[in-house]
Amino acid sequence: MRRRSNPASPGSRAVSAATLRNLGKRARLVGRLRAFLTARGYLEVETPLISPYRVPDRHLVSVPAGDGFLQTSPEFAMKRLLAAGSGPIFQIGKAFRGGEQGRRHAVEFTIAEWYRPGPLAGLLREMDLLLQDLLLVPSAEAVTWAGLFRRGIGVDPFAVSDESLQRLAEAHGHPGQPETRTAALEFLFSRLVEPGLGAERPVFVTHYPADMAALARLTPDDPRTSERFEVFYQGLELANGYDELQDPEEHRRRFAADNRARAAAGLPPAAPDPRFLAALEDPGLPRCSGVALGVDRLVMAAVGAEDLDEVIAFREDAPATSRGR
Amino acid sequence: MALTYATNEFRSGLKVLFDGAPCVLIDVEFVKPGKGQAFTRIRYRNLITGRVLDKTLRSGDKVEAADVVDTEMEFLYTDGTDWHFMDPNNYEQFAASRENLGGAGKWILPGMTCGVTLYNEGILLVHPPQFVELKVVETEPGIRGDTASGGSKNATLETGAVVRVPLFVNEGETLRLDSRSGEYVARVKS
Repeated sequence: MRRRSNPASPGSRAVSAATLRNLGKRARLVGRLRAFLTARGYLEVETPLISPYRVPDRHLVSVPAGDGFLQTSPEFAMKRLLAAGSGPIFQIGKAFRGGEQGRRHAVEFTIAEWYRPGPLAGLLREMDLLLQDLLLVPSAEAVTWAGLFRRGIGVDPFAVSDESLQRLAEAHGHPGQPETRTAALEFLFSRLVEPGLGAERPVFVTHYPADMAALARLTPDDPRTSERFEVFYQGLELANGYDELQDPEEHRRRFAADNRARAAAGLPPAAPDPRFLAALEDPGLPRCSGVALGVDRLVMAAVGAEDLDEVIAFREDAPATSRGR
Repeated sequence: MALTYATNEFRSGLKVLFDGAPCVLIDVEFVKPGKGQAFTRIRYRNLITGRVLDKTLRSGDKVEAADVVDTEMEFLYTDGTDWHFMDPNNYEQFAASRENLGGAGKWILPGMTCGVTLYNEGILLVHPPQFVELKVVETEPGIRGDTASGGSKNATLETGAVVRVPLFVNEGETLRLDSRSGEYVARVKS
């Protein structure tokens, strides 16, 4: 696909850079995604875009809106519905992540997120069928994060010494010293492994290290890893999912760790949403698995686009200082 | 305080200082692995060495702006050491060394308008017009009527540049040349 060499100045266009052909394809993909989930018994829900609380994740920036913040994903609200007994649910809507602008990132983007009762295996099988249906691709291949790391970087991510890891990160262009061991691992993985993932068929990267678990439960027989997975196709990260953590105490510990990392980085504290914590206590989150899919990237993959501009109407209208390009 | 740009203001064409050298950004990409830290990966050209390099920055890092301006100036004359140019807007004169001139010296004659890259208010680079018209001062006699054989020979131009030209070209003729490829384009009827 073409790549624009000179981005148009903002506000100069009456017509979007995204072609009507791509927008038509986008509408059909969203329609098929909705039909796929509805046919499998998922209930479509809508939850508030604005919350009084920012997300604790150290690497997500909540965009202010009025007295609160725009959601970075509908995760907490949807989990409250699950705790209330909703059964399988999905949502397709907008989410916002401050500072994320590039060919593959947009501050304002469309997210599809769904949850189903039960462990991860069922969700993975369903995701495989969905991608075959939407992208007309062969069945996905599942590989562990650590296996890919060993193959791509040549060292065992759990055994490598801090010093060697730091040298490797710097040798591959990490600016300065990585903040943490996890930061070095993530940098190397994104630099050396991700670009080559899913050239022929989607790849499910499973068993992310425990330090990258976010809100996934740890793997029962190997606490070094977690039940988090990501979907990659043609080097593009399409989705991120978990066998969902249920334990309220473990949630509190992880949010506290997020806030220590935020403080160390000079970021404002982010008190976790107390209504979410209360729902985890009573009635409690049922055993479930969930995933968030980047809809704009799904369309990029389907039409072979190299830039989100090609699949999001009027994306070039975004405020200039946040465009980052 | 020097003017700085944060990574979220980066775009191709922006002129910044890396390790004290003026550079132009060629490509800018925001990268953020999974749930991890955000980086800005760039490709840039060092304007002094011409070398193209890649670099990764932490998103949010700030980089000093380079006082680099692209403009046009008229070439006035050379004294053998320096090449002298004039800004047609205010008649201010600038001198370029042989080093600043790069390969531009073989294509330009007094009176021509050239692209000039200024750095800290001095000439850093001179860009000759892409197409220039120059007279042949020396070449073997032309072969009459031979416009199709595809053979070529050397010709010395009035600037001193030596280029490959078709066999039918004669001394005293004016040629149109592509300064980027150094290739003959056509004869110019006088």
